Amino acid sequence: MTTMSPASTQTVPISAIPAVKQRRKLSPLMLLSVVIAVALGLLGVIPLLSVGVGALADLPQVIEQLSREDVLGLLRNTIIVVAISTAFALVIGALLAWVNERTDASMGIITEAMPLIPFMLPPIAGAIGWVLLMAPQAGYLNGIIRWFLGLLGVPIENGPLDIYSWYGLIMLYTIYAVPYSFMMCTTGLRNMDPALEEQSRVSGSTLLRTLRTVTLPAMLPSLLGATMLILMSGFGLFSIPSVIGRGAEIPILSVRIVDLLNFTYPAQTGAAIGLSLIVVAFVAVFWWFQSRTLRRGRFATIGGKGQRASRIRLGKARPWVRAAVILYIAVTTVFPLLALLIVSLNGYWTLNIDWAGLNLNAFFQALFEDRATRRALSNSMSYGAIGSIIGIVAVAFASLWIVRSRTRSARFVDGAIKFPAMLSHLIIAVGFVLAFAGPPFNLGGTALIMVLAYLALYIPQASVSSDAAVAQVGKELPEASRISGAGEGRTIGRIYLPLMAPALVLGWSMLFVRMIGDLTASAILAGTRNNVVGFRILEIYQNGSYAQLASLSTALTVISAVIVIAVLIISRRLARWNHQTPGGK
Amino acid sequence: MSSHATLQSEVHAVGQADLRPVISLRNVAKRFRRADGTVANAIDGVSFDVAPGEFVVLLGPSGCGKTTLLRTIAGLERADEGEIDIHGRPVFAAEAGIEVPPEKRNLSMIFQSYALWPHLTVFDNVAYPLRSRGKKRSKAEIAEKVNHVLELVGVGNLGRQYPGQMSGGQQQRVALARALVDGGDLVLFDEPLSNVDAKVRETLRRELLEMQRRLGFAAVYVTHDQNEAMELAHRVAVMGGGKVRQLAAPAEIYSAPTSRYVSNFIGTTNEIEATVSAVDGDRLVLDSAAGEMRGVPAVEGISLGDRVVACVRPEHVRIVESADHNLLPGVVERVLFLGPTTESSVRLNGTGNTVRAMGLGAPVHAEGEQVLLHVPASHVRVLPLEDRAGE
Repeated sequence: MTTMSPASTQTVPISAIPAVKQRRKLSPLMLLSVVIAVALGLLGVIPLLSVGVGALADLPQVIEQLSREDVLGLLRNTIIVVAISTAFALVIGALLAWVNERTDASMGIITEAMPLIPFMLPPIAGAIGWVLLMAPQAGYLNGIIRWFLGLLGVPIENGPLDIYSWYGLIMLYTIYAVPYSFMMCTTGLRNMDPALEEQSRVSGSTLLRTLRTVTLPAMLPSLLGATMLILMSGFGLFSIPSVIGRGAEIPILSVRIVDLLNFTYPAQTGAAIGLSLIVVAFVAVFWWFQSRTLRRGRFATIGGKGQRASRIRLGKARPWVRAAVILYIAVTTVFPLLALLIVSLNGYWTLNIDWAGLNLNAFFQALFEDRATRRALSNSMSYGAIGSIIGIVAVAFASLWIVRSRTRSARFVDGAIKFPAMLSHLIIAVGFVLAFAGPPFNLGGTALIMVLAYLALYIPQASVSSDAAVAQVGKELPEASRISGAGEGRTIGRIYLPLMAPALVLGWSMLFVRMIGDLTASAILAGTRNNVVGFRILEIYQNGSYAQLASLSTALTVISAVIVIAVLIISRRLARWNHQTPGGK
Repeated sequence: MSSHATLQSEVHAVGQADLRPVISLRNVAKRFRRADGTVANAIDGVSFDVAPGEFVVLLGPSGCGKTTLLRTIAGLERADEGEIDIHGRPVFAAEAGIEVPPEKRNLSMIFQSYALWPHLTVFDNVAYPLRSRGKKRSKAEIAEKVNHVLELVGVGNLGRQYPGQMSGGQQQRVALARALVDGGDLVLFDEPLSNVDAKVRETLRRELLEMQRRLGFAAVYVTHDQNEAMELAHRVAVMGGGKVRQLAAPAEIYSAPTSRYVSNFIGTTNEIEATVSAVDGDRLVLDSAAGEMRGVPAVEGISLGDRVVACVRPEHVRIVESADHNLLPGVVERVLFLGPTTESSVRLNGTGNTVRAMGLGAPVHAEGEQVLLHVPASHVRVLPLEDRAGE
């Protein structure tokens, strides 16, 4: 450098600017992470492409199907149910969240975690529980009401409640959707600076005026986000309408799609694609609307300094509000589970319960006597175990690459991994049939296609939480490891993975529970060879006993609950060093 | 700053055996391309050496490139140009394509948060470098080394605790133990005191200073706090716009800044614009709106007729009855009583310039009073006008 002439030094600075940043060579471990991440991305992209290609290839059939007369009826029914239940769910979820976050009626864990329970339980179990409660003849709620009316001297034979109805269908959709809005609104309220509300109160606004002019507008992004989630799951929701909608003779879009694919011979793929496109269109329209509203909005909900709002005193209304919340939780969560439990322990569904005769024999008989059920149960467990373990490991490695390398390609792959969350499960499952069931892969009816589909469906959520786990490790802790002489592999093994473990274990349990409770992909992709609980439940529903249904649902619920609770405890144990602030942020 | 500054011998007593620099930087540069396509120089041709046992502080405002420079030395960032040697071994050379990864550079670093791994005990934290660096060591050897270094920094009894249970002071000691356990004689510090409160900070700083002087490791320490820099450093590198603007002992940085940037960044400075009207031996005679002044050139190459700035520290400005040179009349605008001292702002007659004068004790002059200011010519440092870039 010292001998360089002035003329040549002048040219150095510009040419030395790295136009394309020179990269360090990828270590084998990183290479593996990249490969995994790309594979996960493809798992979602390929089915979607297949749907698109399939739609083009089968265009006449798609158009023919879309122009059939009963499509309008299907659409009308679906929209009515989804729209009304979404509205109810938003109101109920927002109210629950507000009570829990802003008033003195909150009851700790009860109001904080209980509203989320329907979310963790397989919706099919809930639907069957509600049938047991509200069926016109033998529904337990109806029985209780009739007995009560009988005491008052009003004898009736039937009803008065009927789950197989518009209101029954809408009610179940609502119950299933409330956790979404509760969750989003809780986050929104927590991130919102309470000083905004306090300022309004201090400026002389009443409680209601404050709610209307300050709290609600600030919560708009959360509400929109919740609406998005509810619509996406609502249009694709299959478990509830397949159980209730059929009995009520209210045909729903999702049920028709599954019927066309897995309960019609030969499968009418073109028709199914046509109907699936309607679902995509709905979600796309709302998505556009949401992002437009958010972009225009001036509701940066800054603050979030973690200070808690002073809670609003409800005074005399407090016990009533608490009672209402408890009643809601009891009705939506406890009642249907009780009904399931009673029927599975009783052995058959009747209003005349032999309380002394309840025993586990009936339960186990229903589960294990039938070979298909036994097979489905063991298949579900193994697919769930394999899928969730592969899933969480894959997602951990993908996140390690994606979060740390901020390159454009990493962001692109990240988008590919996460976008299936934006699509209805139905579409992905349909895409799986198109892409993998036939030649060249011929995976139809295999365990592999089930596991792959489960991965595609449930990995987006797992990937969000493992991203957070990587991000929460921060930059300095791994850098300190590098400086201390540890290479890439050792840094990941000794620093990243132990610190991510609590979050990963939790993520694993959610994956497992979702996979064993899955109905949508199971209904479309499962058959006799790769039967799973979700598909078996549908089969039994069509020609089996309610005791069997109840037992299977109860088993599913108990397994899910045990796993989630055990994992919560383990994850706390793993993070025992975390009870005080860690040294590195 | 291309000259390899030699150390004044009184600055450090350690490391005489090996006078080869611990770190040697030559023309290190790093550029970022901003979102709008323009190019920003994060580090712009930095060269200096760090001697064994020497404490060098990189001081500058945020965004001046000091942290980037430190991370480049550590290998956590990659420079675009230049060469870096550590312990005489090239660890980075842009043209030769040498780039040694951080885990092979054999240095230690103490991070802003101390970066103690929360899931490992203090013992395991400190043992980590021993277990990670290639050499095979027996368990007993590791235990002995770890316990020895924990004793050395005064936390011998904390081995089984987790970092989350310790105070900031203890965390700093453990971080230091981890940095020194492998016999390292070079520790990089990335603003380690910046997120503790002022009182604790002062204690920790004293403690660190004591340890460094006792144990004799070389240190490169990044901070934006000039008091910290003054207190800790053998030499301070004042950075601005990716360049090292001045590298010298703290006293020299304060009393003999070689640029308006450094003079303004360190302490308080009065600046009076003027033109060089005559040269009188080693003094310059200046013509300013406030009157004739005499001063000493702070840099070479100032010549007759140049537009310059006369820089004066407030403590050298006196309110006097008379003086034989540098007598500036003005009106007292504001008097601030600060306890041990009193600061008076005086507007110089015939100019918009306000000069701050520091005097011991209680105020003597009232606001609005006409006074005469005097600065001894040896304390008037004359700097070229056009040189505030990089701020």
